[in-house]
Amino acid sequence: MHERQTVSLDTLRARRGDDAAGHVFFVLITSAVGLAFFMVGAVGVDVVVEAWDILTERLWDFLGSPSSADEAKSGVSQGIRGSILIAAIVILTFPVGIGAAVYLEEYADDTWLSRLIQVTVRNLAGVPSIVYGLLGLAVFVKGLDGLTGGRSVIAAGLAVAVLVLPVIIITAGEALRAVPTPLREGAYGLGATQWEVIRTQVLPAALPGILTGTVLGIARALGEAAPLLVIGAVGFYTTGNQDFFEQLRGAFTALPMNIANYARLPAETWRGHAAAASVVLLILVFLINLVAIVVRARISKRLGR
Amino acid sequence: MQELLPPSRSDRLRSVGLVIALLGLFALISGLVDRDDKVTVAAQQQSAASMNDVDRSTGPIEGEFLVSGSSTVYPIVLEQAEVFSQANPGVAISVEGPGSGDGAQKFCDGEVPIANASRLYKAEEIEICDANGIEYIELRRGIDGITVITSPANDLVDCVSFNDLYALISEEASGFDRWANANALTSVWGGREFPDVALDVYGPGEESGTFDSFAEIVIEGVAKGKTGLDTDARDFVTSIRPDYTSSPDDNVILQGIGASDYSIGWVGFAFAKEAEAAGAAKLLQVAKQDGGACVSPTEETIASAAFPIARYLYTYINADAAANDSAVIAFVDYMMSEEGLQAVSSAGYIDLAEPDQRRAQSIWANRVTGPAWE
Amino acid sequence: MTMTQPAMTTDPATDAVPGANDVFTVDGLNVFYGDHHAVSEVDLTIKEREITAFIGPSGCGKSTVLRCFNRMNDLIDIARVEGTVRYHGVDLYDEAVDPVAVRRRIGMVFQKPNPFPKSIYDNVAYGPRVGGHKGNLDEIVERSLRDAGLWDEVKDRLGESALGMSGGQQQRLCIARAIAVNPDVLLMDEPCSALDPIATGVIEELMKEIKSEYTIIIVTHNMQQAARVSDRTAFFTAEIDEHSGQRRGKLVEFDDTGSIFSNPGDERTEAYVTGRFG
Ligand SMILES: Nc1ncnc2c1ncn2[C@@H]1O[C@H](COP(=O)(O)OP(=O)(O)OP(=O)(O)O)[C@@H](O)[C@H]1O
Ligand SMILES: [Mg+2]
Repeated sequence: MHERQTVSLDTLRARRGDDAAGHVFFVLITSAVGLAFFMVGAVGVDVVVEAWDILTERLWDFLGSPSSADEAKSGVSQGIRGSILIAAIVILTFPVGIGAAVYLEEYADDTWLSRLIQVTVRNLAGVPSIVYGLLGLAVFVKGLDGLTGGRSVIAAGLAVAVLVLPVIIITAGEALRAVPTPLREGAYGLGATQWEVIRTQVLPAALPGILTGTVLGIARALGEAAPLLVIGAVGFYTTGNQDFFEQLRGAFTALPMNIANYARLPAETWRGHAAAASVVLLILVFLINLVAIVVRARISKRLGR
Repeated sequence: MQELLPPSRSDRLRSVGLVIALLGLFALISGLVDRDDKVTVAAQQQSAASMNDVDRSTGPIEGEFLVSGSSTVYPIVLEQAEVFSQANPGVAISVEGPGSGDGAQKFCDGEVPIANASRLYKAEEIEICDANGIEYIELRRGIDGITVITSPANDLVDCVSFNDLYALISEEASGFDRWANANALTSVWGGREFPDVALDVYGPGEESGTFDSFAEIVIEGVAKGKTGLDTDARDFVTSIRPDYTSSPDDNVILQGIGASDYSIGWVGFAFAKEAEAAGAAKLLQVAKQDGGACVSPTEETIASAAFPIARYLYTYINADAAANDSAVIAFVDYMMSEEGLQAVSSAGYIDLAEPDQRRAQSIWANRVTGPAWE
Repeated sequence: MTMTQPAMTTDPATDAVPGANDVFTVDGLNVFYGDHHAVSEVDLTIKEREITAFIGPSGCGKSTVLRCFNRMNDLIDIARVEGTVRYHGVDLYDEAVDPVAVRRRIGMVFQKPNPFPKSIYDNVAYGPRVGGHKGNLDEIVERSLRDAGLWDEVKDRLGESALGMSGGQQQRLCIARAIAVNPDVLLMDEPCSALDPIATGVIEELMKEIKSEYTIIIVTHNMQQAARVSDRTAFFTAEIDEHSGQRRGKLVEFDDTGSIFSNPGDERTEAYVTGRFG
């Protein structure tokens, strides 16, 4: 026979210090988050303050003009065009990355070779971007100059695409691996072929994750300056009588290059241009990501998650 | 039995086939385009030459070229290219400024017809040009003073001699983190005594012409006895200490200079002048010899060579293009015209003295190839 | 491909089999997961249009054996199957056999409901669609949902996501989905383990109803369920292998359900069905 337990409020009352470690941890992570916000905010405010005059006085002119030696006329239209083209080329290569991930995750047998490829892809994601610039110089500028036209936006787009590809493969691979086994088994159990299972179940279920990867990829592609430098983004160009396709294979620049060029010019007044170009780049990245996020949200909704 | 028999590996085979087919298609396309397009530089220039005659007689100039080279010269060319292309909308012209050395590489590989440099090409660069059969026209464009700067807060130092700079910035000064450390060197030749304050050195990186010019004029000058030191009595180095803070971006150097009270560094005159106007740097006077006259860097003192650390800016023109490429010819014509030359001073550099200017124009007019300047 | 079911029973090219109404004949079946010898030496015969129950303690290999009948183990990289599993006389593990074709004839319902993240309609239509069905899907969807006893509950919300259904509804949807392809055999791995007694009852009724058209194999931990619905029962158990120390599943006894429960031939069976064995 048990004694009847007496329960008083005291035995249930929360005691101070019981979870001291938890409180310390909470304070730590809150301050870490606060610090991160503060730094991002400080940088953001700093840039916007510097860019303020240009953004308020001649925003559309700045967005619509090519670079110039004249501070009052210089703008980033060519950089915006180059960055968007590079992003477009990168997006065009996403199916390659997703295809590679599907192959590695779904088709490839687990051999030493496929493991080697997986490890290599992971390592490639950590290779400094300048190395991809050199690769792009050798392969796309020199090797395939018949296709790319040499130091062109196509070569730059392809080099950046190769740089982003490992990120796409890795995140798509994670997303594919996260697709629950019961889902696959359910489809197989109804007599679907492997490709049908992948197409109708695995890819749709993995799509939100895959899109997250592409958001990261596009952001990285737009922000990279080092490969563009090596490929040969110029500071200023005119297009003469070139038609659209000749221009794709001709001289180009991109927003990170605009920023670097403005930052290198002597007069203090150019700092505002560099800051304004940074703001434009940030907004461009934000807009492209927004599109991807909206697409992801719609797909997720359609899948009923 | 039949119904259980469809080939089980068909899916996999199909996907492999697709990949191979895509690769093949890509190779095919690039091969085809390649064939159309892969003309040698010579052939390109030939066709340009034949077009050239037509162009001159019939109408607007067409063409396409890239100007590469020194980032110091970039603002000058940017302005010239801009004005030129307004008058010649048929020319696709692009300008970049990766550095004198990078420009020399592209120029001597035949990749660009025009390259700028903030120094003369080095012997090994000329060798590559020669090996590739690239003949060049060497044009002097303007003058840039290299200015020694410190923080506006530095009230202990106003003037430095070449010997002082050697004691502070040469390789022999490696590891010196206080100005007083340099006294170990200045005492050797009986030079000045520095105060005991922290020493922070900032300057451009090795890829920069400004780095080369500073080392050549100041450090090598001392090592060759040009400042009156006995170079037989002891060995002098000709290189710059490796342990300074370097950046390819002059604005970063200026930030560093402002950040520490007793900093020292060197940048081009255009940047220094801007920084001084903005209160971000103090320009030091420079004397070539210990006890010699201290000279402030100004447009006048640099142009008259009274200020001792000045360098010339150059542009190299591919001789073939100068003969055959109508667009390049038209651009350099503009560049060397009185109107075009105004870009030198509006970009913050100093115009050549009259005789040099005339000489540069005549070298271009007569297409004189090979080394032309000392 | 056509779905006429008895196509293979009359195929003269296959080996002569004793009993024309044998759907599966299992001979010396061994299954390995890597080094683990999970199931050893199983022999049994499954009769047409009967419900066969697999019972036995957890980990004895019931699911493993069940998954051999539609080559589901192919999906597990490390799984390896030895011995023969004949389906109407055809060796399912023959090189030339396409597992996809096998699974179209031998459907499966899993232990945990696994509806697709699609609409109710699309879930049921999935199998016929991948099977290349061209006719009227509405009819198939309605009939399958009716057969699974779900029609009245969902007929007004066919376009809604299947993930919004209750667990029991989801499991019945999975059954509807499986019978929509009009299979020959239905493999059910503990289909009622997540269900309440009422939903369980519905499914048991369903099994008895469709028994006239399908051969059913059901894995269950519920003795009463096995006794209630099945015609024949197989009792598996796991023994510790003295060499490797691994647990190895084996078939102990396979007989009419009545005999297994009232007159078991093996004392381990008796201990298990009377609840004296874990
Ligand atoms: N995918 C797998 N990989 C490795 N081992 C497995 C795998 N699936 C099952 N096994 C092993 O095979 C043995 C039999 O497992 P199985 O799932 O067939 O048992 P079960 O009788 O269905 O058990 P339960 O009643 O708990 O479902 C177990 O020892 C299990 O650990
Ligand atoms: Mg099981």
